[in-house]
Amino acid sequence: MKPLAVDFAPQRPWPDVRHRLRWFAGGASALLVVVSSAVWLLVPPAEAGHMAANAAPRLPAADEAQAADAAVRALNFPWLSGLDALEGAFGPGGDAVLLRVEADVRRSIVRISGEARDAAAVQGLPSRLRTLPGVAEATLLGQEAQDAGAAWPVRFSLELHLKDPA
Amino acid sequence: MSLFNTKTAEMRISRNGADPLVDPPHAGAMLDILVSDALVRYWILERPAGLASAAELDLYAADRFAEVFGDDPAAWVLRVDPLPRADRWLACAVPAIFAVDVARAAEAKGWRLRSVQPRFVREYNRHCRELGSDAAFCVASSESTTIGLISDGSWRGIRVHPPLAYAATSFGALLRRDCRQAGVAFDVMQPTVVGSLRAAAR
Repeated sequence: MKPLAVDFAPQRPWPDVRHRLRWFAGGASALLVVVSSAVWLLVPPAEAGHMAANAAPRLPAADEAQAADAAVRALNFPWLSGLDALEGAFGPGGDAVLLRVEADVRRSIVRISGEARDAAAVQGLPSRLRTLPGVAEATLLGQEAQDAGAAWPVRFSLELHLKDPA
Repeated sequence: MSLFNTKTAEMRISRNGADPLVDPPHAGAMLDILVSDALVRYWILERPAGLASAAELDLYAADRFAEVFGDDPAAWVLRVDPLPRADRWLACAVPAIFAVDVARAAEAKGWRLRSVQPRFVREYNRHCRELGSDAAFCVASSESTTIGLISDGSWRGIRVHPPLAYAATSFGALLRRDCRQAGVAFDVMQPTVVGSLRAAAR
């Protein structure tokens, strides 16, 4: 069964998505450097390899392999190109703006939320986003009207299912 | 209110009142607010045909809330988990004083609010991956006994009962009665009980 998406905490917009994603990408790169350095230091040099030649090679356990796969998927996730594509789909001066992007790498899902000029603009978003490369499906999860006097009076949330990498 | 060893503090709101709202250890410290099920209203929403927007869903949920509980939904904050392709959705309501006023007071003190969740929702999200498609998930606490029924992977019923320690009937009798009212088969239900009084359900 899936977790319940029920939370009563007031929702706050994410003011600078690109800034936070760059922090994430930077953190992932730093982690990769640290892990690579540790492997370089801990693995014995090739000259000593014959000492362990008779020992049976140790295969990674299933949970270790899954953790490694998950880490690789997270590191390989095309954050900046995906964000560029999304921003291109919304575009400057368009009828909707992007406020928040969340990726569930394990399930190949990206959830986005934003604001639009009207409900018709929101209804047109899924078909527009389905044309993006790598997007298999776009589903409108919900929309709600805010202050009628606001420039973007309709808030919406969408879920993108990404295509499985071939 | 407990700070534990983690970076996120937890504030519990129970039938007897709320933990005192202390100052955060530093500005922007994370806070979770956990609301006792004894203060929460749960119900199941049948998915209506032709729902066009989230605003319509809110109105529909408020209408059903007033119909089921007879209370004015204006004094409550309502939430629905509108799973795509599901026929029934779980809905719940928390008094606005907890979801809005306490949350605002916490943020005014310098806390950064991470979540405000009812106890059943918190526990369900921790254990949902272990549940099968026919399950009775129960949170047996010292304040209440909440039983949620899932049949064929779909929510079918949820009830908040008195705590098992004081209940005149056993957990089995409660579950059998809830299954009958929800129209689901009791025999196929796999019960999962969590909470401080889970031993009383055996």
